[in-house]
Amino acid sequence: MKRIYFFLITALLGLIYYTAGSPMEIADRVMVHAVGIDKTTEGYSVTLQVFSPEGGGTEGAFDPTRPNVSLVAAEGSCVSDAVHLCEEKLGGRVFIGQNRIILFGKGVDLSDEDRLFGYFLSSAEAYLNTECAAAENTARELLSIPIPSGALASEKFEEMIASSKERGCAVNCTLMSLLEAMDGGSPDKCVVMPQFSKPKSGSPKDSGDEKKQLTEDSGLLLDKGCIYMDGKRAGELDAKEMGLLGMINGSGDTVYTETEQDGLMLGKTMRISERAVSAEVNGGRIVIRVDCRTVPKDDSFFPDERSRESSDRKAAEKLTRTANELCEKLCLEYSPEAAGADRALRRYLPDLLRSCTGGMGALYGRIELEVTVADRG
Amino acid sequence: MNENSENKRISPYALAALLVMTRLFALSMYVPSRGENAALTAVTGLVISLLKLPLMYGAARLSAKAKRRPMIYGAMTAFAALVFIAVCADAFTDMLESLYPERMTKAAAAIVLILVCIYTASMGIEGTARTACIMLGALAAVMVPILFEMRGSMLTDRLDLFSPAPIAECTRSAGQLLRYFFDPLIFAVLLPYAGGADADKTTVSRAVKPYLIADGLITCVFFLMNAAVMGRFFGQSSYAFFTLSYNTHGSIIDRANGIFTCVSTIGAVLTLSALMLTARDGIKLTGLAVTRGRGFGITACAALAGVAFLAANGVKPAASAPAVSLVFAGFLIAGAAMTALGGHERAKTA
Repeated sequence: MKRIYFFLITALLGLIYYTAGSPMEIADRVMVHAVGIDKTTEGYSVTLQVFSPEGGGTEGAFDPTRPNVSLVAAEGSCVSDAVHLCEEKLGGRVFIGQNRIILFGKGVDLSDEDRLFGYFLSSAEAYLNTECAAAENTARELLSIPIPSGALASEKFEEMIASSKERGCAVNCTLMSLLEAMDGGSPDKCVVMPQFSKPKSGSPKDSGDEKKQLTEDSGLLLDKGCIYMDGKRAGELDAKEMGLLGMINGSGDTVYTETEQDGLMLGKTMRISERAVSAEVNGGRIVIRVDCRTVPKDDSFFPDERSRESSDRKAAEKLTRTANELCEKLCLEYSPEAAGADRALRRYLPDLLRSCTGGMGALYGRIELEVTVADRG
Repeated sequence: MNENSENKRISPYALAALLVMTRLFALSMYVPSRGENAALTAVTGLVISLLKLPLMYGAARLSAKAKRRPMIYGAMTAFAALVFIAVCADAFTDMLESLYPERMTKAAAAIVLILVCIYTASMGIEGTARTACIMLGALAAVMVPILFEMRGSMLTDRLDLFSPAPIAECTRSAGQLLRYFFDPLIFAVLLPYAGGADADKTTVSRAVKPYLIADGLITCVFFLMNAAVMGRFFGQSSYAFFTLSYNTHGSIIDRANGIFTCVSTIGAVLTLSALMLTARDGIKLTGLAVTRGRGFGITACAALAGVAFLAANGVKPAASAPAVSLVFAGFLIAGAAMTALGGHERAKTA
């Protein structure tokens, strides 16, 4: 019996203590769904895409011309300061836990870790697996594009990345992998991010009554990837090269290629069913081999088995050729780190790495990447 | 407090379950070094689990010989248990404060924690062990889906054992893994409940082996997941347990940091309850308390007063957790060696 009293007293104490404070009401929170970061002379300009339910819909159940988000932007010496200024403008507490995407504008230096990422890392609400992407020009420009489809405008970014990656035409980059690239000890701090841009063609032409016009989908384009070296933009990859990169460095499950069939060039998405990496020292050169096996993701109709096998074989040969061309480009113009050479060295040649006085960077000049893609036969 | 509880026994597997919960707590308090190779830490953890085997058997041996020197044994175990209570309570409230800085003060959280643990421990060894068994099953049912849902975030290519200074890194990881080294203490003092006054080897094996297998497995899985999901970067998020939880993005469970907090809390409550029972038995052995009930009363008052005082005055016993664990391990090894030597001498003269 005494234990019951003790339990009641303890429970009451706990209840009083934990409910005494006033928790933040959801209505007082500002739900951020997308964050855009651009470089300014003073520091950083942060654009927050904020959920604004009162802005969505007028007549009828859903009015796609009235997106349910609003934008707020502020500048500060670091991202954290800029976000706090945004909070002051909005008059509520920013909740970053629902953030879907972080867009980095053209001039942002990713190696400025504390000022750029300090806000996300110090917040217990920040979701560390948030997608990251590059904006062709400014992040604010992309976040300003009204996206009429979907429940949330920012979902479109995630969906486009996922869809392109599934097709073998993009790689994704999460905040955690970005942080690892910048702080993981690799010499070139190389990371590849998908790049969003505005389409070059203009807005839909007026053709009479606006209501009769089909709602055009998002004004976003994802057809390039951006390579960063040491935190700064170093170059671009096209969609096919991004897919190949995913195959080479293991971050992708599919890869896109084009093969000739009956005189026509047909696109084909191949699923990477096997991938093996090995590394060895061969005559002073460090050879990193990536052996993959691919199977078509969606089987096409072929008149006979021989045609199917021929198509698979051609796809594998094309992939081998293009992957090796990409590897050569990466080694010459950028860094073999983009292809996962740093991980391969740590995993397969640790003794060489430890014995090298110049560190990993000194070995990069000796690296050769060889990719072999086999078909399912 | 039921006085008949001293005559009741628990299964050695239940004791193992209680120890697994204490291990979960210790793992949730793990703070990695910057750039630490978690795969290497997993290997170090496996080795430590193996090395714990002779220590646990040594602790069992000490426990069996406690009757020869009850006052010394009782005083040392009670003191060690109370120190570990202060250390663990401080570590847990530190974690709560860092994760939820605006929701609770450390002193109040410490007091409520100790009160809850006093209540849990008042159920006696049977109730505590039963709670541990139930919680273990419940936590496994919750954690396993999370592990499966994190598959998409894992890149096994990140798993390598490379380190520029492997010995130094393994030593540092071992120090962190052994930061809360109270398993042999709890095991030694609570073992009699699992096997009577002189626990035989079979009983000891039934308690030790499942515990060490679970310990090795949990440590291995946790750190390999860290390595596959987060690579070498742990950033400013401090607790690896919670940093990993911020990466959950599954269809069943999205963002598992709340669940991870629950796991850590349950582990903390059961750990502190087990330590309180340990201190209670130690105090009874010294003769300060005639019955276990009075021993428990002294323990509860000492724990509550001590933790509240330390928290209110900004004293951080958790900072000295490695030193405390080291000293305790030293005493354990010395005690086990002396017991073994004494037994050998007696056998020679007999």
